[in-house]
Amino acid sequence: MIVDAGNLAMVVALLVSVYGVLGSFLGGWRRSSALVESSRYALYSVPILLLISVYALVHAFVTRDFSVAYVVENSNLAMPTRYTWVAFYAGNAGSLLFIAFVYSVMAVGVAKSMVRRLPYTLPYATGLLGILLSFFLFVIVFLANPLDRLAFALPDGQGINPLLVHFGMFIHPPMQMAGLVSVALPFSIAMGALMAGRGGRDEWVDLGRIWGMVSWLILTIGLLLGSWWAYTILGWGGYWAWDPVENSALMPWLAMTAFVHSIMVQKRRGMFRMWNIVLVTVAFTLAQMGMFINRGGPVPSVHSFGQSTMGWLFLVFMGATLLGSLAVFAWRSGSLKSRERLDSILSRESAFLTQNVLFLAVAFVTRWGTIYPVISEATQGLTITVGRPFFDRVNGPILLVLVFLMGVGPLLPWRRASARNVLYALRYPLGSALIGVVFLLVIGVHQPVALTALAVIIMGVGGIVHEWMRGTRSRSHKGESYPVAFGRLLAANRPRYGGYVVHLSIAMLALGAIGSSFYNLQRDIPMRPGETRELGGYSFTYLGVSERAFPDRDEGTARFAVSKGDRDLGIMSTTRTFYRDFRIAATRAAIRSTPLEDFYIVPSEFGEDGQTVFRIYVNPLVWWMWASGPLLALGTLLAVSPRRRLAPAPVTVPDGMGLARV
Amino acid sequence: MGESGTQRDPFALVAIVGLVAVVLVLAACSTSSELPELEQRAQSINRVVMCPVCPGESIDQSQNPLALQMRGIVVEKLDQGWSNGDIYDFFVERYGPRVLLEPPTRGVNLAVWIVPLIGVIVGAALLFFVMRLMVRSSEERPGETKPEVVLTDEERERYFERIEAALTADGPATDSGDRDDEDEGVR
Amino acid sequence: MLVLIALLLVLLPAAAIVYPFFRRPDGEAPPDDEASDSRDLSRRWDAAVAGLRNTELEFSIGNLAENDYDWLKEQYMTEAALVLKTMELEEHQEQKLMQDVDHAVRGIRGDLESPEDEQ
Repeated sequence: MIVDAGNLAMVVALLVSVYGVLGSFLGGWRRSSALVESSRYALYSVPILLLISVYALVHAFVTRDFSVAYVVENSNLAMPTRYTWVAFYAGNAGSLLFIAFVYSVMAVGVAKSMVRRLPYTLPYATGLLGILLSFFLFVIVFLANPLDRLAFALPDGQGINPLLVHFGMFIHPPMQMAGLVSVALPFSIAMGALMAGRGGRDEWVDLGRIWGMVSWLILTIGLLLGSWWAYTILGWGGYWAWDPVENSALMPWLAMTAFVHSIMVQKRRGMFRMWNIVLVTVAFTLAQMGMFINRGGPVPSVHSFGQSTMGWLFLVFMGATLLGSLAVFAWRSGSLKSRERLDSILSRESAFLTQNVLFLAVAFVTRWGTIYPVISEATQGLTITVGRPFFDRVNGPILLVLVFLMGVGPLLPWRRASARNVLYALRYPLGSALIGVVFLLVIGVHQPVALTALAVIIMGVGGIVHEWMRGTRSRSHKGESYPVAFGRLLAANRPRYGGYVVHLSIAMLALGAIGSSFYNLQRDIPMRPGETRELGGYSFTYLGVSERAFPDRDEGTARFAVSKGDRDLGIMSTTRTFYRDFRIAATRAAIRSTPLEDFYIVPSEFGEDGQTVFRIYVNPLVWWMWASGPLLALGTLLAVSPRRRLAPAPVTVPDGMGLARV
Repeated sequence: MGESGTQRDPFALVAIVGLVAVVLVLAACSTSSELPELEQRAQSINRVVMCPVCPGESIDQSQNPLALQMRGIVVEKLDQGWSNGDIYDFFVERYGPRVLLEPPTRGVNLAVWIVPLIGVIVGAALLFFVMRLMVRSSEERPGETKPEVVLTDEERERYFERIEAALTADGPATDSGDRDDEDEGVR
Repeated sequence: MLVLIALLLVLLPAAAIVYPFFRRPDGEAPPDDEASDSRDLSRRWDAAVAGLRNTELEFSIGNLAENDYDWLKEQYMTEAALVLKTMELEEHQEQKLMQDVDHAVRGIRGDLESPEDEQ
């Protein structure tokens, strides 16, 4: 019965949301505040309705209601109870419901934030938010309903894809999906403002920036979690393969990173007005493309939800929104002249513009590499594979330049800088880079590319630390102690210092990427129980494998006694599970992670005669990649947190003072 | 302002630092690994050869029996003294050029590599010229201030005082008067 | 039971949707248009203040040469001053308008009241 309630709630949500779209646009056009408000309330009621549907679905999973087709397809009696709470977003239909719910909550947040600050833009923004929401609900209700019932209840379900039964896999898909859909938030604000004729005076920029950063944060966490999951579960010691689906999630992230920077220029100087609209539209289009590829587009991958034809519906929708955006843009572009001009090529504004171009270059290269096989097939009849080596080689340098820019950019003042002064400001970053290079050489880092990359990172970090020190010292002249001065410095300049914290976390990310790319050790080692081997300073003894059979799977756990030098590091175990029904094997690697390096064991082949081939990795600095996540979140939150505004105090002049009016 | 004799020329400083850094980096020799050379070569080859039946995975990544078999072939050929290029060609003969994850650097498919390079160069050039254009046209500044509102000198001073007072009252962001002594050189 | 839930699911959102149409007569002032001049001035003021603060910060940490600092400060201060002045002019205008309206209203009231005063 609760399933029926959930079903009904979805239908009502669809109707309400469609009303909201129509009412918003009509009310905005006709300036009917009652209609606008009514449509807003319609939007507010959607998350409540969808909560009921989500509850119904979770309830069905937890109570093992096998009369619901989707529960049958994604769970079974053998599934541990704790997984039933989250299994509902494992499959296509359930994940759509989940996205729709999360999106509706975020949309309400956006609408509420706009009521006071952007009252005339609000109807158009809610209309746009509602269009996407209605689309999702339409697909759910008519094409992929997770609450569809079977003719009769089955005794047991089919079980979940075993690769999904891991902590990371529970967080990554929802985060990733939420990230992709959240790009609609800044898009709706920007495009809504344009439609309302309120884009030419930067009205929407404050909220556009905030929601843009929220969206960016979710996207980044989603990507990081996906990499972390790939690293710990897929068993090849890597975290990013430039897989087409990974790339499709990366592209909107690249555009949004560009956007959150260039929007600052618009906020400060009223420039890049047209550019930002274009950028956020590109980001949204790429996000939709990401969702399309995820839903069973033309690319088979561990990511796709199966070869459904639904993907093409998403593609059509994407085309429609793109065309609509172009139309609105053409209609209103005349109102988007910049308020101010670029004063100098050497300035923070132009650094931001350069950064934008570089991020788009990475996006271009990624897109090019992804479609080239199609091109070569069409023109030569020959499929050329464009894989990881290509992307590493071509995007690597561009990303390195971006890291360099990340370090140098903040040293550039707004509006204009003299080359002399910039170089002077660079003295500490460069100095620390030089010292860093010497230090690295001494400790044995000799690979030129790694050295250069590390030097760039050190330069960036050095610049940030240098400014923090000077800023703190400058404030402490007023008698504040250093910690207090630092705290006040952060609080008084939140966007700037929040940005620095984010940049630091990106530097950590880059550090992890470089360490693990250039200095990783890998070896396939056949071992028998009792044997001891060594790699990278670690000594490990294979203790043996214990096997367990479960109703749906066979597990083999290999245990190792590990030590480094003369330090005993305890027992590490790695499990290889074979799921009989799915005929899939999943591995959980044994990983010992320290900030210095990861020691990683994964079984490769289990032989019959007791000999097993294990793949051993020593991956330096990977820890820094994952550690960057929390810091990144903190930095973003700091950057968006509001600061008390200094209100202008115009003096009311009594009549007769004779104000000169020229 | 401030070109005093005590100012060290930052250009020279940067040039020296940069030069030293570059020399150091170039003088670095390649890394030594604890793995024997053949094994290192095998690993780098394995990362480029794709498993034909797995979607986009290299034979290094994949646990597929065919991938394992191919890894064995790589080791065999290396022991026989084949060069990396020969081994790649061997697989290409059997499975076609798509078996390599890295697109070829010969022939018409060089386009894969060239196009991004051209794109970046063109993009950079475009960026530079566009910015130059934007700066040039900043001579005439329309601005959005109502053209009829203008400050007289006396007003200017009054307003500046008020704004300054409001800012300091609001809280010390930082006070420009507290600049460190060692920055004298830039003034 | 299901019927009850179904009714709730339909009626509650319907109520929310219909409510604004019946809530009109409280004479709320129309919201402040984000495109209005006063809002625009407000934004420009915020941008100028942020610029000033940032300039001070960058100068104090040594990223800015003194001549650049002076020039930037001049730019931002001028912008802030212009905004202030424009705001004051507009408020002055509004005040004047209010005063004129007040005069007119008093005049009319005076005409209306004086016949009664003669009683």
